[in-house]
Amino acid sequence: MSNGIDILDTIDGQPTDSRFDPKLESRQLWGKIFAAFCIFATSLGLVVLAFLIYQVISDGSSRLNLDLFKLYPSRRPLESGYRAAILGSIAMLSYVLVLVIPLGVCSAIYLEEYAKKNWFTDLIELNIYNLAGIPSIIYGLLGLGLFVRGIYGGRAVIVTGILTITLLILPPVIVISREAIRAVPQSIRQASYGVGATKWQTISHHVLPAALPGILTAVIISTSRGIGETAPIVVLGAGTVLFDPKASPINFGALFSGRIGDVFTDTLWSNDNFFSVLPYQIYEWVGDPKAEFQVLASAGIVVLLLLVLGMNLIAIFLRSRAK
Amino acid sequence: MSNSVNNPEPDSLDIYQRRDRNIRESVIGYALLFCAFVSVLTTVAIVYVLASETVSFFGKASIGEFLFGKTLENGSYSCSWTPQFAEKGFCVWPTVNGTLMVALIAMLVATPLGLATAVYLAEYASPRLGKFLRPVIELLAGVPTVVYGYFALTVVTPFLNKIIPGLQGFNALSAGLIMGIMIVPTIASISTDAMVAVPTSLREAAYGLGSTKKEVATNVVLPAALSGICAAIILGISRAVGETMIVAIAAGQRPVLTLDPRQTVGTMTAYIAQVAKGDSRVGSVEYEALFAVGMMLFLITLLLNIISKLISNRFKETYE
Repeated sequence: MSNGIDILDTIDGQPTDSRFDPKLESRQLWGKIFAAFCIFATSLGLVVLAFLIYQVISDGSSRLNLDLFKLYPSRRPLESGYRAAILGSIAMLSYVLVLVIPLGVCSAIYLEEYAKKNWFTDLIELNIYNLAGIPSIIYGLLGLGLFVRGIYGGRAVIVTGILTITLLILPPVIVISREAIRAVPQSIRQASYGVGATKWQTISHHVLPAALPGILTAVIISTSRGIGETAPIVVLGAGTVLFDPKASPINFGALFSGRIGDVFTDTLWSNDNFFSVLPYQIYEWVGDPKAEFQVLASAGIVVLLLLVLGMNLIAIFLRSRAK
Repeated sequence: MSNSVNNPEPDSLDIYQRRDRNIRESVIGYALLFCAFVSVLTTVAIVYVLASETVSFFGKASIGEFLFGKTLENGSYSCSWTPQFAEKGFCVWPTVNGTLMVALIAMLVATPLGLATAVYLAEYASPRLGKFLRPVIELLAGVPTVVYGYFALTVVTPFLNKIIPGLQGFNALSAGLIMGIMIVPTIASISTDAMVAVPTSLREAAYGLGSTKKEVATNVVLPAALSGICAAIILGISRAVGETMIVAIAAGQRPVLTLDPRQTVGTMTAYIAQVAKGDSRVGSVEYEALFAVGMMLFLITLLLNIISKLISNRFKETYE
């Protein structure tokens, strides 16, 4: 026993505290510094976000009134507003939702419930993963080559914007919807099969309702990103427009008065249905040297942030309800 | 009616019903497959559009100049990217230089901040606080990039102007700093997932040996989550390279070969946005140059995404 105590006290005749120094104080100090840095890092982003919101509200406050929603763009900043751009964004948002929900949810159902484990499924999965990482401006080039030049003969109309943004947000919608579908317990499917339901009955009656909050979260968050996208819209060649976008898919006036040949004139599909969206109009005015246009840009940013952050908050709320 | 159970009629009806049901089921299956196939068609279309215009671009500009620059008549070497000017230069590196410099500044900001945020969320914050903070931090990724661009141009640049002499009105520095803030949620989110997945037993073992909380985080959890962290950082680089609006608004549109972050630069994405915004005729060389730069950008981000995927698949630590 005394031998053991000797070893603890001295090694090679040296007192142990000179060989093993726990340096507790300095380690605790580094721990505190590190924790402080982590807290600083976490809060920095939030501080920047808060400061940004404060800054745009104070910059744009003089233009934050109803004129913003009533006036069309003009050479004179005080007579300019976002009417065409806001209506364009709303029309685009609606049609993107109409397209992306069925496409995204059906793709997710296929990959989670139907796809067999083979090279083809692997290909689709890898492909969606890669598409999700492609910069949005590349989708703009796709839309320019395929929709603007290919379908509309060089005219950047609203349909080309809708299709481009739909393709852009489709991969994230699929990825997050799949997670929501995967999270539905297997026992629910087995119970449904057990009482004789077919695969599609099982999915439509049981799996989809259970996964719905998760899917809605995916759709809302992705669509809010799509609505805030500027780069692909710039590349398509959208410009400042001085009229409201035509948003109706069918010309009802022509339909009801029997002019069947005119059913698609002056509708969403028209090749003079040029469009602008909110972030694009902001970009135009941010770049303008006149100071009043900067004020107008800030006011537009407030509206855009309300729209986008509002959608994000709805999604966060839905997700918290789902859990 | 009571013996209808023995009547063959309902039974045969049921067979028809079942056949209809089977047909419906398989039609639905194919419809779903078609939807999933849309994303494959998207990739094919992207590659087709980029490749066809790139090929006609290289019919007019030499691929040698694109990659290596050219020697002028007076014997001096020139590497400039000016397809839209009368004096045309087709050497792509000035735009790549701008992209890489802004991305580097962004990653110098986003990597430490993103990792520290992830450590805080995974190791320090209480579960309740973490549950509240994560979506709030992800809001930062939801802010439209045109807003970040405005912020960089009207707030960050004037502020830096007071501290840094020689800072130009459009510069790589303020664009990079703000882009870093934009990328923090990408890195933080994926890294937090990787750190949360590290088994508690590893932490307990480290605490048992007398480690402090900071030592557990940096010496045990960070190395154990390294594959996820690397994947997150590479994904962050990919986002920085592809970001358009911040650089188009705040970094300027003049591609130059420089290492000075105070200077106006021009990135690949800013070039695409600038030229597409103007009226370039279809078939003109500056129109086709858009797609050549787009192709380059596509290949770089694709490569980064594949590396990120490979790292997270190949080096996934398993503790079973």
